[in-house]
Amino acid sequence: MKIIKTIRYKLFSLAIVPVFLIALAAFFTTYTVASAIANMDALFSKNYYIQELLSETAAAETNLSMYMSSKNSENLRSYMYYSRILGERIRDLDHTVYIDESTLIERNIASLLKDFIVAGDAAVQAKRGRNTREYDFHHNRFKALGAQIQERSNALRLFLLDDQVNTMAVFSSGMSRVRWFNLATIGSAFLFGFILIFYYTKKISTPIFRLGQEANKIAQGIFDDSVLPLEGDDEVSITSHAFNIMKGSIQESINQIRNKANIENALLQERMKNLEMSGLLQKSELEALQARINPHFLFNSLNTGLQLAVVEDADKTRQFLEQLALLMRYSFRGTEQSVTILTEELEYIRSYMYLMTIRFPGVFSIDISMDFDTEKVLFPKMIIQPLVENAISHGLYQKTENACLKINGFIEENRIILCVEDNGIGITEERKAEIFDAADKKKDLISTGTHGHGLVNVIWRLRLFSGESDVFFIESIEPSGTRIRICIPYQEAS
Amino acid sequence: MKKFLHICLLFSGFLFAVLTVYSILALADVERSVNPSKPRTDRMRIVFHFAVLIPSPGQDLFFLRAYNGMKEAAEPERAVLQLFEYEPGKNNDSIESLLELILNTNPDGVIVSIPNDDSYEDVLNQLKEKDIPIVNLEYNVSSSYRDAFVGTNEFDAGRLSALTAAGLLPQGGKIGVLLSESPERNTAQNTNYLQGFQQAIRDFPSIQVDLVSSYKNTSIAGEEFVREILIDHHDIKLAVFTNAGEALGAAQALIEYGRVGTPLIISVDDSPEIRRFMEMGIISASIVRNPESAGQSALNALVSLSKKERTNAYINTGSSVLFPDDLKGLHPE
Repeated sequence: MKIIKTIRYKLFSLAIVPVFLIALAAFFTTYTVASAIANMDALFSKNYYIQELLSETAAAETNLSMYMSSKNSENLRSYMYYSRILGERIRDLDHTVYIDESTLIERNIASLLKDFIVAGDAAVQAKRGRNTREYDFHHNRFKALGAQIQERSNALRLFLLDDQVNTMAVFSSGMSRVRWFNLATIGSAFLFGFILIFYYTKKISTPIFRLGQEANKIAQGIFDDSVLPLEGDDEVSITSHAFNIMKGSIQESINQIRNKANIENALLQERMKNLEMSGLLQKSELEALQARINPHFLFNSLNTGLQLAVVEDADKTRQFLEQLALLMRYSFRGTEQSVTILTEELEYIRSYMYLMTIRFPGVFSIDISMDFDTEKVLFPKMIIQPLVENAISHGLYQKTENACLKINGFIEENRIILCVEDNGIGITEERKAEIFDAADKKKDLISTGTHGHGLVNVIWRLRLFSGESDVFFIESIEPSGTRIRICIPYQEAS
Repeated sequence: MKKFLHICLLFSGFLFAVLTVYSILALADVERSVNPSKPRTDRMRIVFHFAVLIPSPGQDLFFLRAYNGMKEAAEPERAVLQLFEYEPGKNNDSIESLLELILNTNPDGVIVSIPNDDSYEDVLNQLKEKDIPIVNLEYNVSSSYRDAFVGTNEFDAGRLSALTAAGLLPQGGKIGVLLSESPERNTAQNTNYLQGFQQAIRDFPSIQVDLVSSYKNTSIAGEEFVREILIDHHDIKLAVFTNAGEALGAAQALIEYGRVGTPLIISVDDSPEIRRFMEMGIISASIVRNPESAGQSALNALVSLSKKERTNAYINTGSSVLFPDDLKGLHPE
């Protein structure tokens, strides 16, 4: 299991290390002081011991002297008490001798104490036995030994003093050195703790600061390629890692939304274009049917006529009515549908031309030729018919014979080139300019009372279909005639 | 910045560690110096505790060197010496007190170098009664109070002095001898010395001992002896002394009187002052005892006695002659 060094852990370490260091320095200082006190006590402990021994010796002497003079049992008890204590002291002092003057003197004192107690006890016995001579002898010896104990004790104290003075000099200089080292240790602990805190607080806060900066950038909508560095394995690092992922994810989502918006925008534009085309188509259809009464009534009437023609075996009438019905069906079918298959459009033209040849027999000849398969080509609906109608109405209307109409198409550089040409009277440049001006400005030539609004409508719809402006050309043909050339992108029906 | 912080952190950490270690070492050093660890008892355990009662070594070079010799000999024997010193020329009570103290502290043996005086008889007897061995160093107390004597044979010293004098006076002449009355010397010593001297001088007919003196006041004895020679025995060519202090007094008097060289001086012992006067040509020779050897012999004799072993009751440490030429090339003490 991976151990995550949490910020809590880091902060705890950060707090505990300097505290530990200072505590260590303080502990060491305390230990130094305690050690110094202990050493001082040890240095003077023997002095205290000798002082006590001398007090006890003096007390033994005083009590024995008082007992000798007054025979007071209380003094005897006190003497016995001190005598016993001094006896115990002998065991402390009569230890192994080393090459150390103090141990020799201690041994001297132990030896003197032995004789001191023996002499004292002998004096007490002599006193009890009323043997004055012995009592004097032992008491004097007792006092003489007491004086010698005093002398030896003083010698020991002098020796110790000499030793203590030397020791104190060494101790003082040593402690002075220790004091300076202690101060330096505390100073270095403080310095180390300070740098440690500064180092770790910087180490902890820098990633948080960076994270804040990056969050601010995102809040301001700035998405650059910068990635937060992942240092260590604490919460900040984990958060930074999550932040990096989140930033990437947001960036990806925004890109997706942007793409979607672009697509939707394109679709919307397309739909708008279609709507506009439909509107124009409807408008042209409505215009085409404006003069007609209820198209359904007409269509039904046509069907009745067709049935009648069949009953009467009037084939020509039947064929005529069939073509007219086809023409009307194509016109009425799905006014909301703005695009069709080129084949259907051409079929519609053929029906239309059939009707025209019936109306004006022997006047028109039509030639339709296509260099490609029209079955798969998408083409705006009701585009060619207005052109044909326009050619018949304005170009060929004066012709009584040899009126020729050619429709041909081919594909060039993935564009459909479709030409409608007649050998009529042609078209003037002013007229062409007028039509294109109306198309460019989206003016309705009907409202101006001028002919050619069918062409303007065609131009609008072609432009909407292709999204291009240069899709419709009007050319004059020598010696007479007009050629209308349509150039739109090739679109295959799915 | 980060690298700098790293360096600072490492440096301060290192500094703290080093200072902590140094502080601990300094404290340990103080602890050790204040409370030195006791020597190992199995090695330093002492078998014999001897008391040494001698004139203060600080005032007498002979006894300083003799004491050093004793200490040198004591270490291999695992014996420890406890020094009791007295000031030469002081009253006998202080020596008696020290003897009583030694008696009551019950040492394993005693080396004494004290004037021959009856007042110490009682304490010395008590020491004998306690079966504490006594070795005399140089100062010869009554043989009844000691187990062994270590020192210079006065008869031999007298002979050596006479031969030295004969060497210094090849043409012959008169000689004066000052026998010291200092507390350290007793009549027997002086008698032995004079006997040895006279025995040796018999072989030199051209040399006669014209004057043998002694003065109670030893501090002015040397000067008085020179004055006596210069006034009443001006034909004495050489003065022989048995005490170094008296010889130095005589040498100083000759300088003051402007009579250096008449008479010539034979001193005893080897001290810086003696050497200085020898180098100046005022003292012609000195009969030198062997203090280190005396100290070692005394200690060894005491160890043998403490072990109840046999030892010589009289150990002569011998003596030699020191001439000014012998000092050349020697480092001054």
